[in-house]
Amino acid sequence: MNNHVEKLKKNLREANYVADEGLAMVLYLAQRLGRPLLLEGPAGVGKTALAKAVSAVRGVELIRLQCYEGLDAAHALYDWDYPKQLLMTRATLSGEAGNTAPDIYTDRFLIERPLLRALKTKPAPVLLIDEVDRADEEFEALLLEFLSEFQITIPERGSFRAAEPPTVILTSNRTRDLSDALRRRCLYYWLDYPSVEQEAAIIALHVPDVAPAIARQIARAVRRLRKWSLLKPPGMAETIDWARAVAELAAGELDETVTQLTLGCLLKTQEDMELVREKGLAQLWNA
Amino acid sequence: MERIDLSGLTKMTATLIRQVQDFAPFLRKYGFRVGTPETLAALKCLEEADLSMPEQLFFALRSVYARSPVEWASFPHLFERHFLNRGTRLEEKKRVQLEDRSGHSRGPAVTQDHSSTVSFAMQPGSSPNQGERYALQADSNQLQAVLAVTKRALRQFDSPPGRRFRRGGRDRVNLRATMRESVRYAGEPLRLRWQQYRPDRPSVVLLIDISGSMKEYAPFMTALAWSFTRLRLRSEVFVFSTRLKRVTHLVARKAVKGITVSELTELKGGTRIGEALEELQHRYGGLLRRHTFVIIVSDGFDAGHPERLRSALQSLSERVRHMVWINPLLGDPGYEPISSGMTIARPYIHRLVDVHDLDSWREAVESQIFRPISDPVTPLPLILDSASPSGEGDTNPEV
Repeated sequence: MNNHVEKLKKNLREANYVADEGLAMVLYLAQRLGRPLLLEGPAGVGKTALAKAVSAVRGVELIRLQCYEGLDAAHALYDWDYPKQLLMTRATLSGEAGNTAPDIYTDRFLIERPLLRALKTKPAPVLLIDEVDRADEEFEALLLEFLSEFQITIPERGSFRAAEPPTVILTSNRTRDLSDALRRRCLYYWLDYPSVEQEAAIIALHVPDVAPAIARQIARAVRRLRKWSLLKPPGMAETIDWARAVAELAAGELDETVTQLTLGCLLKTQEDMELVREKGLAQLWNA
Repeated sequence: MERIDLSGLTKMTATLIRQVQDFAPFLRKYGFRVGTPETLAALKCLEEADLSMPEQLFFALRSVYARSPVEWASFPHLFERHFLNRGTRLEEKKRVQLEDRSGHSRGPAVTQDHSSTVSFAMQPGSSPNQGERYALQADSNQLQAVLAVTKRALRQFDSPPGRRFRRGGRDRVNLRATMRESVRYAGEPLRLRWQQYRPDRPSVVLLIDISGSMKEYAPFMTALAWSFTRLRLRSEVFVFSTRLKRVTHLVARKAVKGITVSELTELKGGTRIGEALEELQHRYGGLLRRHTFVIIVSDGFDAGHPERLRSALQSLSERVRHMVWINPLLGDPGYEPISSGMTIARPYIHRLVDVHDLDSWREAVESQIFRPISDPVTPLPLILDSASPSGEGDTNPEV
């Protein structure tokens, strides 16, 4: 069993994702037990990237449902193709489509949205339900049947059940608390910012041009930044962008001038820039 | 990720199943809401995990039983305690009689509920922050009662139009709904269905003074701040003394405990309201829009420069929709809001109210304190505080 977890860890690394043993274990269990995995953590720690890496490792399609306020069944589950239904009805009335009453609730008229598509796709895809905390509570209730039974009920057609349950990964940035009912159906993992060593390893993986010493320096600087009360603390994507910029500009050396020039890769608001300048850039490149 | 020493776990594999069965009741004592389904899932995990690798058991059970960051953080201690019989003994969830505080004339009142019991489930004894000192600790008895009152206040906030709202334009036809409806009538769109726009959530910025003189009211004010984060509002919570700190992420939790001292290390003693408001506008200017409601909770004892306070309040009042100042001392007999801080603030605020406990909060909400006034603020005559000459500010005895 240990081999499976180790192998998964190695495969994820080959897909450019550095996972620790705990995450690899939970991912393995989620697949084996057929349970959805709920990932929570600050923005930019690699929650979405994990789903992409898992789909790459398994060589299956990644179906993504980006959640937002007001997301409803018509956009997440399925919808009927009303114009087509209308044309069919009119064609029948005018006698062009024969005299029998048309069945307008068939697969021909069904528009599959991400959740239904995830149930029907073979081989079983990876379904990413991204930033589920942004959706309304009503949408969470809608997810319950799907997450526990891997089934969707369409009143006009009956229930669809997945022949092969997809690997479901839900992410949340905790802008609001999710319901207990949703949490109970998932395995849970709190994905925090990586340690300096892990972050340096991630930088080395994505930006091989950066020397290991500089990668560590960047990781330490970013770690220090995250402790400051910034409006938008830098996530992994910002760290990698910064490392790329440093590799381009500095030819392997990080100093105050380079930090000044590349600060826009890390910080995304004027307020944060001013705070960092007030505190002194030297604190970053000397971190 | 934290590391725990799991040596010794493999010796207990013979009794492991029984231990896992007992684990859910054990966790429930510490506020985890887990039961038989979790035990069954944990036993399934045992089948999948390699028991010669104790870390795997730990990781597997953690993903099954923990459901929030608080539970995630406290799980290692509890796992160690239950499976290895060592580690920190955390205080269990208790049901105890309320302390009689009837002799306490002022300060946050404790509302005795029907069962006369109080749950300490999420207080520091049973949390991973065990032993932490709290700068602001939420009064767990009052959370739900305060929330119920704040819910009533919600109706008073103006909801800004949503992102898709088109001002001055005609309503748009909802084509999908119209066509769906038309199927009933042989495809003839007899009834048009119109697009319905959902208004945006009102924005509220809450600023709480945490200087020494406000200490008495801190539990109630923390509960008040929490209640704003539980409603359909875009709420942001800040605390300030000499500086300002955004604490929304620390307060906006389902089970709030409070804010520990270690999370507020950069705030020093004393009150400089002007500087804090300047920092708010400078660093968090994006939150202050023409639909924003600003609530300042302070007794008005200000040790900063009066002119800075005046200019900060002036610019703030020009940017936002409505400003309410909550002063918990207003209800005290003999108290007059004539300190320099309050005197300077009055021309720029729409409502000045006394809120120090649940009852006064209820009264304030009933008096419609958040109902925006269409007329501009009528400046009140500036009353100069003779006790605090210009440039010196108030001397706060408790800071």
